Amino acid sequence: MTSRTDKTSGVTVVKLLESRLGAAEAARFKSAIAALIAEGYTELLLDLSTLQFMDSSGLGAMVSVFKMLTDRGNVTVAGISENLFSLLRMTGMDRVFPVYRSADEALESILCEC
Amino acid sequence: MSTNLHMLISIGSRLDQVWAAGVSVHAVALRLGFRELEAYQIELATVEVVNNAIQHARRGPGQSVDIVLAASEGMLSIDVSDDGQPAPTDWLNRCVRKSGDVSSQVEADLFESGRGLAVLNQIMEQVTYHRAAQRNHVRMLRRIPEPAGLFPDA
Repeated sequence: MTSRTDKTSGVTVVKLLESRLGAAEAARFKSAIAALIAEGYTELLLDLSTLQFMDSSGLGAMVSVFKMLTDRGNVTVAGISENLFSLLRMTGMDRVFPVYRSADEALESILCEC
Repeated sequence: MSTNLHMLISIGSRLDQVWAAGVSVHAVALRLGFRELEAYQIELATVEVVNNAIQHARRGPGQSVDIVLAASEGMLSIDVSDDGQPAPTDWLNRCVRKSGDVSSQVEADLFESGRGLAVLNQIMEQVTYHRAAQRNHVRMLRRIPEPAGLFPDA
C-alpha cells in the first residue's frame, strides 16, 4: 500500500498495491489507514485500481475507515472494477462511498467542489 | 453437451490460504461458461462461506476446509465442509433475512461485519446447511448458463 498527498487539494491518495482485500488482509489495511488518519490525513482517496478481489471483510474494513472519518474528513473510492462495484451494490455501500472510475477523475471532481 | 465435473479443493483452516480456493473456483466458473462478473460473484460466495468456516472452526494443525465443486445437468454445486462448531439452527434464516434488508437500511446500520453471508442469497440460487458425520456442510447451487461445458466449442 502506498500513499501520496495532493498538495493542491489536500487529498491523500492511498494506492493499494495488493490484488486482494479479503479477510486475511483486512486488519492490516485497516490499521495502515488508521495510522494515516492519526497523523492528520483525513481527506482520503482510495485508489483500488489494482484490486481484483474484495470480500465482505475487505468491505468491512472500508466501512470502518468511513466511520473513523465521520465528522473529521472524507473517504472517496476510485478505480474500482465492475466486479468489486457489484459487491458495493449488493450491500448498498454504493450509496455510502463516492465512487469514481479513476483517481484522476476523483481528484478533478474534488477540486471542482473546493 | 452435458458437463460433468467433480473436483475437491482442500485448504488448511487458515485465512491466508483462502485465496487459493477462491482463484480455483473463479477459474472453473469461467471455464464452465459463466461471465467474468458471475465468476467473481461465485468466487465471492465461496470465499465468504470458507472464511466463516475458518473463523468458527476448531483451531489446530491438520484442520482443513474442503470445497467440492460439482457440475452436472446444468447445475454447479459448491459444497464447503469443515469440522468446526455446529452452526445455530436459525443461521441460514438469519442470512436470508439480512440479505433481504441489507441495502435498505445501510446508512442507519453501518455494521463492519455480517455482510458476507447476507450476499450469498443474492448470488446463489439455493443455499442449504446441514451437519453430517460431525462436519458442517454449506451447499450452494447456481445454474450454469447455456451454452455450457468444459469444452464449449466441442
